[in-house]
Amino acid sequence: MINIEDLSEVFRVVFDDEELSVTEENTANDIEGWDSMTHVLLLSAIEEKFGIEFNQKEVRKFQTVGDLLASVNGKLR
Amino acid sequence: MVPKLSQDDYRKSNIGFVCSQLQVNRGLGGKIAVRFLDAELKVTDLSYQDLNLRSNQVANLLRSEGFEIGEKAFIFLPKCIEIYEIFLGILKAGLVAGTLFSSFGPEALLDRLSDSGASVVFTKKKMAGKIMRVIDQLPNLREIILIDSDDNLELRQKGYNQLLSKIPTDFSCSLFGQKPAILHYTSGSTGKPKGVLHVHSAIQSHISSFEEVFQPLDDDIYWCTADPAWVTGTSYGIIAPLARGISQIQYAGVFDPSIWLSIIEREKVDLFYTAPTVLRMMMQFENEIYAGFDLSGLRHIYSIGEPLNPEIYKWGVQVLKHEIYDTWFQTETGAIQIANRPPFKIKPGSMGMPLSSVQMAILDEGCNKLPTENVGKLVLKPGWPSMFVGYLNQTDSYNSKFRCGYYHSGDLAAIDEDGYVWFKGRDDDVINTSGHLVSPFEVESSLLEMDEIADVGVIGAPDPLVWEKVVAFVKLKPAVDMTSALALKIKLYISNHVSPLATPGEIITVGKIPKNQSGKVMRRVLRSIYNGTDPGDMSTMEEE
Repeated sequence: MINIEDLSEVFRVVFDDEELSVTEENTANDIEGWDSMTHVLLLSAIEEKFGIEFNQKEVRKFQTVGDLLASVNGKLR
Repeated sequence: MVPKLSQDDYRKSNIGFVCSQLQVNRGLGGKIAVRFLDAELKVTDLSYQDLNLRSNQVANLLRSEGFEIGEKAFIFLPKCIEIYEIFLGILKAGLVAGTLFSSFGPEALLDRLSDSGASVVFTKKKMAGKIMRVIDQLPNLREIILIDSDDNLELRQKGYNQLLSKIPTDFSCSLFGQKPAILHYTSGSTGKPKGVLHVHSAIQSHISSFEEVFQPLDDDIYWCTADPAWVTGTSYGIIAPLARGISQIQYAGVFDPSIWLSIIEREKVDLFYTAPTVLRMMMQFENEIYAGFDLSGLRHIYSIGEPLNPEIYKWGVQVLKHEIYDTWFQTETGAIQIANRPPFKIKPGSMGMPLSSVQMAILDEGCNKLPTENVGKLVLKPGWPSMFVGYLNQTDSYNSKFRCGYYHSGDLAAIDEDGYVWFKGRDDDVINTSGHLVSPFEVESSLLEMDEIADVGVIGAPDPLVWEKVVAFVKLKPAVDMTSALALKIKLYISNHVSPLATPGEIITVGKIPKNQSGKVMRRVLRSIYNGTDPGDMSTMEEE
């Protein structure tokens, strides 16, 4: 199981922002630079960091950081 | 009755003046110039009168801070309501307005701010951090004006709102005509990005092309989804609609087909201008999503950036119940030169026909005009008002674009017997990804700074979503192995140092980067390796 801080660490690397801290309620609109291009990088970074893989269908369903967190933890279970 | 403007009004004028004060003078002061929807769809309306007064303040602010006519002022902001007043204010004051994508990393910023000798940048507190990392190398940059913070200011930083609080709203605008107005950086296949300079009178082309292609009515609601840092975002997301005195929508949120269509429906958008990549992303969603929206109020959809595949056109007709009009122009041309537009029949896959004032030809290598259906260089007779007037600090590069009496676009195309133009490719190595040009040289230069990489060569390769993706061939240093972690590190390095747009979609490890005897990367050979085809003549290749 990972927590929101584990995920924040990945966000900080992908968005090159040492002060970035995400919450489960955050969406792409809340984080500067989170667009369709960086979204692909973000998912790759999460996959790499936690040794998991997302499929296309799952990816489209993510609306919030909380959705992402739940999906990662579902795969790590 | 709102008085019409003549080409003379535009020719002699100042873009900042035409897009605000002149509209107020026409009696449109109370009309919405920009309806801005933030990411949560909260609406902020900016009337022409608001825009005029606030851009006057920005012009006064620049003058009071000691900035002079001709100095370069850059906008480094995500989509926000302040962009419009800042852009027009810079132009009213006679400074040159430069644009920067909000996704740019420190290296991309340094290249552009340093080359231009930028004097001032408008940005946000958080984004300013990227500039602060390279500020020691920017001696000409006197001020960084933060639109969202007046506190805890660092070296050379000032607070926008604090500055504006003491600034008057009246400003007497000079007419600059042929003086420099706008600076966009664009990528070439060699060297660093080039600063493309346009003058104030370019507005003649913006408005005439807008009229001919979009055919707006006085009460139309218009939405151009392009980022204001892109030439489309300035020419057709700021200048043309404001110079025409119509109302436009801007949305700050990320792409979501349901939200975008709900905006078109709710705001009663008449004219929608977007990019093929956006349309391809929309195509990936189930058609049912679109069935619930009433787009009957939408008159026309237009597209720009990269060629519009016939599949997208067919999808638009079937699913959105609208034809999609493809248009063509470049940063250097400043305004649309070739387009599909009503009432002409669309030939799916063609970029349409040259506008009425455009003299276009297809030439062979010897500058001879080619007959119809033959592929050659797409060239334009110089002299249109929005033609660029220079690449900043690169006179030779500028001159090299004009040969045998024509501007050479770098695109290869053919023209059919009905006068429709068909894009066939590029005659250089520039990569067009999601409508943005990426320089392979810029990506290579950045990757060579990574400890793990010994050598690198970059090409573009076809991609079903973004038209062309960046492909990096890398030779790793001894004892370094390619792993998924390293591949990700390479991608993040480019995303963070250059731009997410330039991030390699594919990384291929090779034992050697093919180069000619002058040490130049032989991209032709890399493309052959990628495509599994014969690389042809290798006699100029450097030996071990």
